[in-house]
Amino acid sequence: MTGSKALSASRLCRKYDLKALGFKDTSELKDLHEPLGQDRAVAAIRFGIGVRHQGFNMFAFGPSGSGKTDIIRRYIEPEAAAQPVPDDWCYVNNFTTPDHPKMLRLPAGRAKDLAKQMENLTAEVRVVISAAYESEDYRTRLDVIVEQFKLKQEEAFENLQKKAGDKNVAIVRTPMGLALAPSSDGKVLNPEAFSKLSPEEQEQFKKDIGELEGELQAVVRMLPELEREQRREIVKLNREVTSFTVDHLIDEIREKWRDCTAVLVFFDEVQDYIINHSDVFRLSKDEAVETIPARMAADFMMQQERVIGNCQVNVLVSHKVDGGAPVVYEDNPTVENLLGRIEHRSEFGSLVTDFRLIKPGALHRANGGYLILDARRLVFQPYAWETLKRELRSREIRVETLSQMMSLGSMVTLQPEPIPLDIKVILIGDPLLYYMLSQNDRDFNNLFKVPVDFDDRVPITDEAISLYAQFIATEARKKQLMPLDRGAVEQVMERMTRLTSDTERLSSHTRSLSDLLSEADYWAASRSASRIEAQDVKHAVKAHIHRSDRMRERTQEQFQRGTMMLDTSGAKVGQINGLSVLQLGDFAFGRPSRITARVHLGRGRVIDIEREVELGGPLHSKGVLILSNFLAARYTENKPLSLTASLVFEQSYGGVDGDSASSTELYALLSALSDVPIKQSFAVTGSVNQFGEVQAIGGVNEKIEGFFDLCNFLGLTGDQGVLIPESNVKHLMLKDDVVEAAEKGLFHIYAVTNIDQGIEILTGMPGGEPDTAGNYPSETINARVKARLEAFAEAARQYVKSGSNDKASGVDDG
Amino acid sequence: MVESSTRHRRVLLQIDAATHCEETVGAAIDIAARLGGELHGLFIEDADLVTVGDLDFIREFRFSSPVAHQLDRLTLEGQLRAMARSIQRQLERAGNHRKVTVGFRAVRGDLWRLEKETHDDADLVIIESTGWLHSRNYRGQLVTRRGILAVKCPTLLLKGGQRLAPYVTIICDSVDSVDHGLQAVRALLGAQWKSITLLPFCLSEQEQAEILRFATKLSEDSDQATNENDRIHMMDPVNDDGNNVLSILTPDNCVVVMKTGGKFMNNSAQLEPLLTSRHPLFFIQ
Repeated sequence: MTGSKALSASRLCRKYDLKALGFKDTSELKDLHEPLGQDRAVAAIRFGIGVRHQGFNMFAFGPSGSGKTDIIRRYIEPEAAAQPVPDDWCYVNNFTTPDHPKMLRLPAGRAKDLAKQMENLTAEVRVVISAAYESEDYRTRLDVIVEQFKLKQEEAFENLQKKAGDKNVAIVRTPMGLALAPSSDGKVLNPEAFSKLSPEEQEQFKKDIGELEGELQAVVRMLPELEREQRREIVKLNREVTSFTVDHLIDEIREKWRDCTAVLVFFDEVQDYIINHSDVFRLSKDEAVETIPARMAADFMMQQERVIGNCQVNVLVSHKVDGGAPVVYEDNPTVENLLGRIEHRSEFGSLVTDFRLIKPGALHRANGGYLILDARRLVFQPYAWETLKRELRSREIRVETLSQMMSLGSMVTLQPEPIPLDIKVILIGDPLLYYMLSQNDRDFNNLFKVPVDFDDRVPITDEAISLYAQFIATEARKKQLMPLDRGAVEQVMERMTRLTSDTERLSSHTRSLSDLLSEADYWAASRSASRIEAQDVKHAVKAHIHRSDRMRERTQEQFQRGTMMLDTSGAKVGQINGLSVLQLGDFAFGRPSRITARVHLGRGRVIDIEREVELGGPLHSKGVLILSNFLAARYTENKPLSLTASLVFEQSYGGVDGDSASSTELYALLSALSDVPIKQSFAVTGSVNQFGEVQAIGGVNEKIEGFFDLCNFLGLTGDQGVLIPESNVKHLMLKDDVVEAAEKGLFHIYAVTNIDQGIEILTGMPGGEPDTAGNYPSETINARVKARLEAFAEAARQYVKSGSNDKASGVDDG
Repeated sequence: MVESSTRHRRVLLQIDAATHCEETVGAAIDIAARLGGELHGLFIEDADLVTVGDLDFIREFRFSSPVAHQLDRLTLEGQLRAMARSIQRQLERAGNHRKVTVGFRAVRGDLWRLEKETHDDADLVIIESTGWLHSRNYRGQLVTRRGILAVKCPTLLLKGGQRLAPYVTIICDSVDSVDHGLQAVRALLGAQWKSITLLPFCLSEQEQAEILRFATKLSEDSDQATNENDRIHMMDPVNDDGNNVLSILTPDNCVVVMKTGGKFMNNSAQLEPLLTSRHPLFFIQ
């Protein structure tokens, strides 16, 4: 009976036959230009590119390694190339408030021209102003002003001198000013000579000096005003000379920028600025070093550099005229890398900055085009996600440092004028992140309205198989690998089907395919082949597994040495082999476990020991709770379920989750209740519902292979096999060893749809169908279970009747 | 012979306490640096100035203050010392910068004039004058013919705090004056041939021809004088009864070189305006 239900070997693995495609190796296949199985994602990308309204940014999500970035770039880049080139952006000095640099928007490709022209202008200005101040004309005009000043001074002093001379009073220059003193024959009288004068003469001198002092004071007071006037005249002269010199230089480049009003305004400001700061252009660096002390020369040079720098242009972004819209991928989306940053330089121990130290970020570079970011990296960078949202909302780029955003620190910095932002952002991430953001971030759905959902599996059809072969050929060529012969392509497809754990699907996971091809290429090269054959692919798969399966071997070894207890022959009551899957990195393998069940009189509880000790996960607990209801509903409809059953994964010291062992546990329970032994040559997987139907589980291939490996290791007897849910048959992509053993009748896979089928295979005793009165035929599992449960119920009733309530409570614990 | 000698040269800068200006120090350092020599600063405190401090009713009107200050000897001494130190620092700083050895000494009154070694030993004496009326007491030494004749070594009188112009006009009142003048301006002032102008004054035609020959030969001998423009210029001669020399000098800040004891010195009508003009004067013996 059981033999008739075992699956044939052909149902255990899907084999591909590509003869119909008519190629010998992949060099004969054309490239695949469209991504395979990504129709939904491609449609979303096309829509996202086409719609230019605010908020229609894209979030591309799918399994890691599914080629999201490549596909997005493949569609965006041609589109971007056909779009208009965005404008160039510069920052220039704000001559009224230098800490608020002004932005300058220029037609594409012209920013660098402007910067170069301004650089040349300042260099030229330095030379021509210096020459103008050295010119004879300037010197003469300066001398005229100075001489006029001196003449005015002298005129004032001449009158005073004349008056003083008439009264024999000398005007004496002291180190700090002027003084009046009595004199005789042009010589100042010393105290001795003065004392020899008659008192009248002395008084007369003092009186004359007193009178002249008033006039002297008036003259001295006039001097600062004269000097101010002289300075004003000199400044006026300097402005005139500088203006004359600079005007024609600026006019020359002004002609080239007639079409840019903002640039013309900038030129006007620069012109005024240079004229107002002409002093710093008067000396060249060499002249300054030669003519003034070193420290002053250093200050002067610094000032000169600052003034010259203020006239220049900081090109933030410049595009090639024929370059199309930019597509920028920012690998490290920190706040600074997105927004740009304001750098500082050290001057005499202080950190200073100016508009020239504003550096562009990815948003600047991608403005007018597309910016591709890794969503996970973005959200992990402090403030980067919030910053990006803010910029997208406000549609402008504000260059701010983190300390400015958080109002930390007080370092001198800038507040550059914001730059208008017109950008399409494409975030690339995993589905979990997309759904989390979508659910928890209220801005997210307003800003990223286009989900681009990448699939990693393709339904297998004739067309899909043909395209997949092309896909393999394309990837091989892209990575410059050897061509694959048809057998190798078939093997690759088998492997890619196995990765989906679905015989009706092929994995389109680009990275897995690419890695497999590379590894196969390596093995082909190692045997000096000119193309990859099926054996190379098989070798690559085996080697890949071998590199990762040390833990699996260790587990097998523990069973072999008896450290882990597991029977693969004989029969036992209340004991069964369950199957679980261990996932270690990208490698998963099946591990058999012994599951045991014990029953006794109680109050209708099925105790999951794993849950009691908090090693069982919620799904596992759910599966166990279903069992008690199944038992009660099927066997004791009109009576209380008066048993306590305990279930345990023996020698399990880690957590257990999932409900894939619930049918296994039920079999163990039924065995314990019916007292019918279960064949230990079987292992079982599958979940069960309250009606006793066996349901699909995950990792079926790994589980079967895990038990097969153990049996194979201990020696195949021909009785061994695995029970799986019928609904998992389509997922079977078992390895060749299992398929071969099945072909030879050494190993069996049984597909069951309900518990009764399973228990019959496991015990050799039929489950039994109930009659109209709900009674099962004798010598069936169900009849034995029902009888046992009724016996428990009766025992419980008798116990309650004869004993006190206190004792009855003791039964609960029993 | 006319080319500058490489021997070590000594420049003496006489700084009047009452008339000091920074440009003079700059010009003196320039000359000393070019000569590869050393610069001695002589800070001279005017005797009249010290006397003023002894009179108890004298008040000082400072340029930096609107009120009059009582001037006593102690204040004046303090001011003079401070100023001397300031000038010394200034000289030392400029000397360090231009790699010129600098010496400094402060003297009072006219006693220093008696120290023969002070200026007889100098290759060049530089005297400053700011052009202020009240400083003429000091410059008085060089505003009379007798004073000028008393100088015993090449003496450069700087005026008005100006930078020293590169143009030189030599007043040629004898063939000797041309020879000596050219030697001095080339060696001491570093003047280039093309910056030198000869102004014949009261010379016979024969003397003029000789000067012309001399100047032409010098120009031709020089490697620098490769074309007409690089040669010495010759002005039209001026006679005793002719134009005032001052009115034909160009540019108006050129250095005027004159030989002491020559015909030009004896002509007070020509000399006086030049002395009070803005032209720096260079007296040679």
